[in-house]
Amino acid sequence: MRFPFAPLVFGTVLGLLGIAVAYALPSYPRFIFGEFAVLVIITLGVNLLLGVAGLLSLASPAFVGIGANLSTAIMLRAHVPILVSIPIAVATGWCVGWLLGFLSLRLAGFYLAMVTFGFLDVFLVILNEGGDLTGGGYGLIVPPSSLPLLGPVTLDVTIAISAFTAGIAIVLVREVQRSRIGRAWIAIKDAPVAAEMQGIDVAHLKTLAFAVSSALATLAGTYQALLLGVTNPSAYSLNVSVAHLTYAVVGGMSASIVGPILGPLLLFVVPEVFRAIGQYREVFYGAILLLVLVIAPNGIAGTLEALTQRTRSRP
Amino acid sequence: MHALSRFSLALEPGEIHGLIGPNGAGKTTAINAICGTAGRDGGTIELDGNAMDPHPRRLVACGIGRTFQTPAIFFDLSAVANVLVGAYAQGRSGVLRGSVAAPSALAEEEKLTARAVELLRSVGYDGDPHAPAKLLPFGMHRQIEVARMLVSDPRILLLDEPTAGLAGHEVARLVALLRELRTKRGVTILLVEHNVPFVFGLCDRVTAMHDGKDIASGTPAEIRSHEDVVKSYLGYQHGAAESERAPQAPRGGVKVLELRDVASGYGATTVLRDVSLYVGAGEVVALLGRNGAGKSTLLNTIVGDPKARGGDIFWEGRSLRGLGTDRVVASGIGLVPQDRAVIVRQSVDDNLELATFGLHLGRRQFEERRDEMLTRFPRLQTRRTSFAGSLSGGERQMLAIAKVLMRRPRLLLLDEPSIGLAPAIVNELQGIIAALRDDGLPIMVAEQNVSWLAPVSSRAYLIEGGRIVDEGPPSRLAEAEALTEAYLGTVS
Repeated sequence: MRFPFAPLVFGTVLGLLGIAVAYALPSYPRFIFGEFAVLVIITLGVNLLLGVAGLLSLASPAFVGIGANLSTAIMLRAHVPILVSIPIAVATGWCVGWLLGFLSLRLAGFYLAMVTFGFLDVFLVILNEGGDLTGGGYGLIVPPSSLPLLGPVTLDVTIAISAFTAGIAIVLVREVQRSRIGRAWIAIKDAPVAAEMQGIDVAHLKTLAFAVSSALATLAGTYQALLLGVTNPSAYSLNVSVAHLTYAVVGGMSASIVGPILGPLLLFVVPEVFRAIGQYREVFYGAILLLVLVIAPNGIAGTLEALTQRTRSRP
Repeated sequence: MHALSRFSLALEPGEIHGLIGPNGAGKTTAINAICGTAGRDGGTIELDGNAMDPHPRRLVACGIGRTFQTPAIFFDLSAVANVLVGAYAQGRSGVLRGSVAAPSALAEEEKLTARAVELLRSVGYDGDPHAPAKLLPFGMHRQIEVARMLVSDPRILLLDEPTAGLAGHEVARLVALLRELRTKRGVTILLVEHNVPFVFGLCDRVTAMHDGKDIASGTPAEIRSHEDVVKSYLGYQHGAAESERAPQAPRGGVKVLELRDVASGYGATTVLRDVSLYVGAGEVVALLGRNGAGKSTLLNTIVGDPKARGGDIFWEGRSLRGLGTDRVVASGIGLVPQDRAVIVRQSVDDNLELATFGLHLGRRQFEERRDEMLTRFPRLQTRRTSFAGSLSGGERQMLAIAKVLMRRPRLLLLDEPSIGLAPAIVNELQGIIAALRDDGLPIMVAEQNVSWLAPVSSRAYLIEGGRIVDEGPPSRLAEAEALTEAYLGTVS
């Protein structure tokens, strides 16, 4: 159904559905659901950058970290309300992402990945040496905050906000990926020279992809801090980069948004929910990864897509 | 390195202009220069009389559309989405309006999508517009690429071998489309093609290129009979070298290699049909044909990549059907491919040594063979310790042949060995082949340029459109008439 602003309508519906699910769950699963929503937002960004635009970045945890630390720090030090601190953090994430995007203009593949990893390293140094601003090596405690109409931002309120945001993000990101800009990103990934000959400003679109992807991770980071109540400086290592990429790869990298939902679902929620598997989490994780890469290299969503498409193309 | 030097071309509005020339003449480079994807120093490009600084991103704005030798399709997009990328410059919606489907973005998308679907139909695409491009057959890729080019309403089309890989009816349809564009919409078309008869049948004017320069420009009739053009396609004449190398034709020779009704191709395309030929013991056989006729495919099929799809190949009495390349080579056939692949980061010596991998030669056996190669190819003697990547074209060709000979094949296949080589080197090549022949090695050489090969070969086949169309003494086939006919066609 295509009518103006349909994505906002459907996004809101999905978001409200998410809140309903969160409400219906008992307390610990509800918390997991909140984390899941945060991971979905991050993976949407990773998928957009890598699966759609074809740009490999290891810097996603850095932006989660910027979101968590910047919003918390300015709430704490500048006593800024949460309605202001989050947009500031996201705007910063967007701009820093844009700058990181400039690096992608000259590099690709492995070399781009290494440079983004370098960026992550720099971020970690700033974080650990930030003294008062970033809580040094210990992190910051997220101060209590409140929202107009909703009152104090409790854990439950945070989970609801995360779920709602994830719902909207899923629909909006899907819409962008199917739109003029999304097609241009895919064109750049598939055949950059031919893409440029259609009038596409490759440089602009690459930096744009970085900016959007980074903003999503930054937003997720602000929610992450609220969910945990603290910021954790050791939560932004290369392992986390790999985890993010794995969610995207296993879920299936393409313009479909089923992938960014399936990835965290399978690799985060399942081990949490099924304790038996959770005990052997690493084995499960590795097994799923191997299985997917061998049997279904396009990820789960990619394989499903291929199956449905084969019937379509029959003349 | 200069692919073009002092190249000049003028396009009249509303004409279909063909650009022809042998391999390596610089045709694609000429198109790249107009598109801004080839480095250019010197010369000017003018559009409507105004100087133009070409850049790929400005093509659509300048009203120029381009297709590539292999359709540059965005495989992760559907057919209609591919065409919509061509309309990128006509759209305005960015991330914000695109993500929320603002009314302006939606209207724009609907309008452009309708146009894209209509264009796909008009180029003859009859599949599902939303089918993913990667699942579609090759012929449809070209259609999608053309539709994508046309959606921005270009006034000038630059087409690089647009009919390559298309079946007869697909070619006819493309021709009809180009004619219609020219006549009804006044579009100007520059067409690079190897299929010269096709070019002559379609184009109003033709420019012939050779070695980076334009050598003639005019109507098809003028070009076809132009002395320089005929010479550039048929190659230069050899002088004294000819008589020295009078071939010794094999008398009642055994057929060491025989192909019977072989069919072969790549993917969905069948390139060779009903090919039957043979090479006798001690013979040098020439396989003549223009670009795209199927010479390389034939040689590659003999060594098993691609595998033959029909008919059979007999080598020393045994069938090679279904055998992989490693088995074919192990059975004594050697192929020197067109790209003269050598290991560029290794020295000549190391290349020769690596060529014997798997043979388990003793040190002395290896040195014996290696010294034999260095005697046969004196040029390599002085370059033994140089990196293969630093060798000149001719030296690299020598090395490529030497590597294959290190394995002592009992049949040697050469794919266009003389391309891009200076006449003096081709002379040497001629001598080397004669010497190998005299030592009893049967050889088949695929070539466009027949004049250097004729004196040292005993028989020739002419291949055209994937079929053998003529067979006989090289001197007869080399006669300007017959080959001109094949290469340049008749002009009605």
